[in-house]
Amino acid sequence: MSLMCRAYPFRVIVIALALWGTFATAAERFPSPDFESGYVLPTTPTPIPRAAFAEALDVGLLLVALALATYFALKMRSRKALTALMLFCLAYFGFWKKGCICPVGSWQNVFQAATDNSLAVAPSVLLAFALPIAFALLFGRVFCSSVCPLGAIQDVVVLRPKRIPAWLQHALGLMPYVYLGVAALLIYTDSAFLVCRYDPFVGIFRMSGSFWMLLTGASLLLLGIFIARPYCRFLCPYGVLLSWAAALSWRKITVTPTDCIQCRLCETACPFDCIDFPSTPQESRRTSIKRLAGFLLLIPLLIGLGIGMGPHLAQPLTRLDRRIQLITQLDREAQSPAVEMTEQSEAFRASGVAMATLRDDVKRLRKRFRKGGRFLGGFFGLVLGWKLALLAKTRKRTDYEPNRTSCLACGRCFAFCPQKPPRTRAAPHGASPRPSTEAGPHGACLEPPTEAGPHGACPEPSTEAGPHGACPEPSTEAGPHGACPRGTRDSDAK
Amino acid sequence: MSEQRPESVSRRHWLRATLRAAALAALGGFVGAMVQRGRRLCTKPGSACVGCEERAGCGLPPRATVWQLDPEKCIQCGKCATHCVLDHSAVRCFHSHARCGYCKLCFGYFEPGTAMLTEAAENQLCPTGAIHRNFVEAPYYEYVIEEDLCVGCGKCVRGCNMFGNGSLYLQVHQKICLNCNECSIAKACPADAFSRVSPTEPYLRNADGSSKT
Amino acid sequence: MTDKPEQTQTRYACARIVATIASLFCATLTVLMLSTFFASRSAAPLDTPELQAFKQQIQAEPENESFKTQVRALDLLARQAHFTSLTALQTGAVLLLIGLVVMVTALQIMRSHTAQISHPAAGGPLAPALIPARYAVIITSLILLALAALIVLREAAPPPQETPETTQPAVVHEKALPHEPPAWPAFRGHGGLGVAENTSPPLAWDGETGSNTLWKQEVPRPGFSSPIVCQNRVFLTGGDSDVREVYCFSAEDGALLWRHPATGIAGAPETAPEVTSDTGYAAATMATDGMRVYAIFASGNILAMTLEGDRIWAHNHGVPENPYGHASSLLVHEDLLLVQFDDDNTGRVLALRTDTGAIAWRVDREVLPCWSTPILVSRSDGPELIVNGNTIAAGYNPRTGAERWRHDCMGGEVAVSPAWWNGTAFVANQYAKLAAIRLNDDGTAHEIWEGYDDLPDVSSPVAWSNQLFMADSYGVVSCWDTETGELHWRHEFDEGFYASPIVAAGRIYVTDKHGKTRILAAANTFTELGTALLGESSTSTPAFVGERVFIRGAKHLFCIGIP
Repeated sequence: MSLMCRAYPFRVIVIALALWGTFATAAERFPSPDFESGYVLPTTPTPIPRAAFAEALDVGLLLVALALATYFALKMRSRKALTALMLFCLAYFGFWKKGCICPVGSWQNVFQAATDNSLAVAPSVLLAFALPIAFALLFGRVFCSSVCPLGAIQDVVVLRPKRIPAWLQHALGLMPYVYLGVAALLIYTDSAFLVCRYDPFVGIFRMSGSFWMLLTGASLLLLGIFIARPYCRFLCPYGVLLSWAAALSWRKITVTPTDCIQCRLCETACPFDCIDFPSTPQESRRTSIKRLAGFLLLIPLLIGLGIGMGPHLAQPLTRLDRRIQLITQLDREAQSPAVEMTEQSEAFRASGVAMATLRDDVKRLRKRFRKGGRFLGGFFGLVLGWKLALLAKTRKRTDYEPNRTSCLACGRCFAFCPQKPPRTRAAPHGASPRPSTEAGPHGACLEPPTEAGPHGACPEPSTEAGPHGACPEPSTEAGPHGACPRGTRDSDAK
Repeated sequence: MSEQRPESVSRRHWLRATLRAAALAALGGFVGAMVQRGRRLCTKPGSACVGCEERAGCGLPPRATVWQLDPEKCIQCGKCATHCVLDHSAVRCFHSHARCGYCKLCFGYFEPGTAMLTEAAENQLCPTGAIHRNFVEAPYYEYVIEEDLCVGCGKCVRGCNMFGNGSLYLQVHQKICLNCNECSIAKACPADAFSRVSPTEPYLRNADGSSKT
Repeated sequence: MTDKPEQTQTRYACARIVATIASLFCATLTVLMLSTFFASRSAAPLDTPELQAFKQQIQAEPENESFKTQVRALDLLARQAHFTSLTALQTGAVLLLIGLVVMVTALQIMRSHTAQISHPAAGGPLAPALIPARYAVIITSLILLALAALIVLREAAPPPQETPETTQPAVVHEKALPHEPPAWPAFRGHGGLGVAENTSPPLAWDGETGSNTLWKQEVPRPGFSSPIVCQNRVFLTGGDSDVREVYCFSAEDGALLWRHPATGIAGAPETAPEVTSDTGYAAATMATDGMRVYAIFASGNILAMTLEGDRIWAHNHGVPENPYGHASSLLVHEDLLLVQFDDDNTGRVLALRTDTGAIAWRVDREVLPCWSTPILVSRSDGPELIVNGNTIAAGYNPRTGAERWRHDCMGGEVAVSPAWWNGTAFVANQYAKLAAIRLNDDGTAHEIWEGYDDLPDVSSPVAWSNQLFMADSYGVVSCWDTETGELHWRHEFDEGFYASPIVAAGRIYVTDKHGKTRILAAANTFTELGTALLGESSTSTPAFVGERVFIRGAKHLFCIGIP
């Protein structure tokens, strides 16, 4: 029982004042003075964010860049033009615009709005998400080739690309799916924008950022010297979406402007290992169909397994959520008086939000995590099953062609093909084929394309656009061109 | 390539074309529906942009959001100064003169326990000397913030909220903020004070210093 | 296009030189920038220890001009350094970017000179290696699955149980169950309701002359806490700024059986917190479940002891930050010790396990500091803890802490406990009001009537037999109808009341500040049945056991009874 003193000591008033501060920040303790000297109150500045037209400009530029990339990759077939566009996009979308908001991250905003009816997403963000996909549906991954600043910054450091064994590529190729799935789950639960949080290059574009962000970016770029575009191939979640779209694409880039002559020169052309080689199934059709059917039957099983395991998979991810972190901390504090309060828990207690409200929120959230986890597990099951089904049988392929889904449309392989564009309909005036700068050096070197192998006829090595600058003196003789097998070509001529 | 495609190739071709058409239609429909939803949400009462005068909404689809912090939730932990991706944080201190008491002893300006109420460096709370104190008329003093010097540490805000009118407050400076899709300060904020707001109403306090929220 | 081989070679050589220089430049710049980066990110400019030390010195010696000059110089230096490093970083980043562009360009030129078309491997193109790819996909999935499983399993494993630290090994000398239920287990008796069942206390006594006084024993240290009684022992707390103690007296002869100092508790403040003299260090009454006794002090220490005085556990729950000192008393429900802990930091009600002191549940309340003691009532759907507070009164499930209802009606410095009669809770406080809150079976609560006269600020009301009795600090005792709020009677005595009225044997016993106990009929007409004197002032509420009354005076503990 307590005895209250009548006379409030000064200390109590100070404490009460302090209390007041914490409970009512909006208190006006000292009235605004009436100035007699004619003093005019200065206004508080409200600097405005970027104007609406800037948003529209960005979308417009994205559209133009995508169109140009399509033209350069599919029609003009010019690596040079693509490089120029890529450097521009790197400068504009990367360094000038400081990387936000980019299509690689915008899918999260769109997904968030798609899963939450109370949210809207700005048309500019929506288009940043949809335009590259629409282009991929029509023309393949032209966005990756030269528009995406993340791709561009990796592309310029491709110096000593090493081949990666196919099995490793397939294994690492699962990573983007995991990243995509986990990021989507965390969007669904409104926990984090994971792809933006761990965007490795945005710190470089801003030329500022946390140490770890910059270090990750720098190390990925160093790695990118040897493993070309590591983020694009083994991490990028948006690349997954684009690869799905590209799988259905209407047009796609080709190594050769005309027919493949099976010269095998392009075998090493792609630093991303995206060129599919000709192949003939070794086993009987019956065996491979059986295996395919087996894998296809496995898909529902894997999906079921994933759905069953999903909530458990999502459980550790709940730790990334700020509200669950908060309630865990509050509970720990309640468990033992020895647990120190964190800024979060203290701020929560001061906010006046009822614990019950938070508990309700967290309950809903956990439910969402479980539900999202089922989707995530199902998605992983589907991806695994589908990947296996794709690997079930060797598809018959007669020519060298870029893989529809993984090809980044960078145009590096153009220069390797000795074939030149067909004369028919190529030039409006029926003129001679385009000059060498466009179709790679070989277009110029070949008078009759089938005559003497691509390089035998090469009078002068051209240094600009291809690896053939390396054939100054000795390699003209002993270069790869002697290896060009005429017989292969003949056998494939249709 | 050749005029005569194998049957399986043409079948695959047909399947791809159908799926592509479906995907394009779905994508277009989705974009259209999302734009429509944006307009609908704007006109829905109560869900208009924070602080929007019309409240009922203009019916336009929303613009890309910008980040803002709610001074009512801010606890002045000091993380704004250190967690921004920019070396010089985009969060700065703002001063609502309409709300200021023009106190001679300003708890946002003076180091606690300061004996002499002068502008000398040892008396100032601000680590960068970003607040200027000018005499107006007895007994009132004006406090002006030099934006370029402010680092957003919130020390003055804490003093002013604790003992004064709360006329100093931290805000995201919209000209400086890069509007990262995930704000690093928002992620670190212990009071969950950051939110995405419409660029048409990018501040959460009115001109007189009262809260819009 | 038509470069001579020499030209090509020269170009290659040039590119190599440029690349070398650029890479050296970039490397140097990176090192420089890293050091600047860490320096600028590590600390705010003026938070350097030297500067802070200087500032403190200045506050100690405001007249020392040389200090001031030094601080000003240091401050300027620090600020300049901060902004210079910011500019340096920005400039450095641009320079580094330029350097990298030059380097990459040069490297790309070199590459274009050295790249070779490799010979296609002999023996035709490689067949796509499907089988290893298949295995790779499966194995990677399995690895990912295993990783996930590992995380999930670690997640599922119960976290290592943190046993609350006890300063002494938990040697428990507990008597074998079943134990005798305590006679007067807490402040205002069973459930804190202020009703003494099955008692027949005397109608007159005089502590000074010794009439009807069985014994009188000096209490070593002061305290405003009230006595509790269990197994023929009386427990009290007392304390000053040096030591806070628990006392155990024999109910037979008043002998001090043991005293237990609340010392050596982990996390307890080294110095006693500041309290006001009218609250003191031992204002909160102890509680018992018949096996152990529990005490709380102004320092936030909560202790559990056996009836023999052996400590079972002790924890510090943080010094309660309120302007007077902690005063809310303890209450036991089954195996839970219920503590109202509404201080400046957070309003909270804790339930501690009586065997270990671990927190069983905790409810955070949006209330201001408060000094009242909760009560435990029994409702149709089970027991309920009713807690008064500023500004809300609320009901909780004592087992889980789940809130059942709340009513926002109080204000001011709430020290008065609630009263309870027949489904209605009564809360009151001076300068606020008296509110009768009807608790409905559907879990809702609504106010049925309110009063604004003769409100108590220390003494808690008691309700019994459709009547509510209140004694205020100015000497007015009033009686109200619990259903209608009608005032039955009010009587003004010459001295104010701090002790709470207790209903015993159909009478009201209420002791005023001078130690004079007024004995009134617990009825709807005013009848004074007797007056008893203690001989010293009293502010504690007596304990009623059988035919005896234990009253704590300013210095002594009295046992009243007919010899």
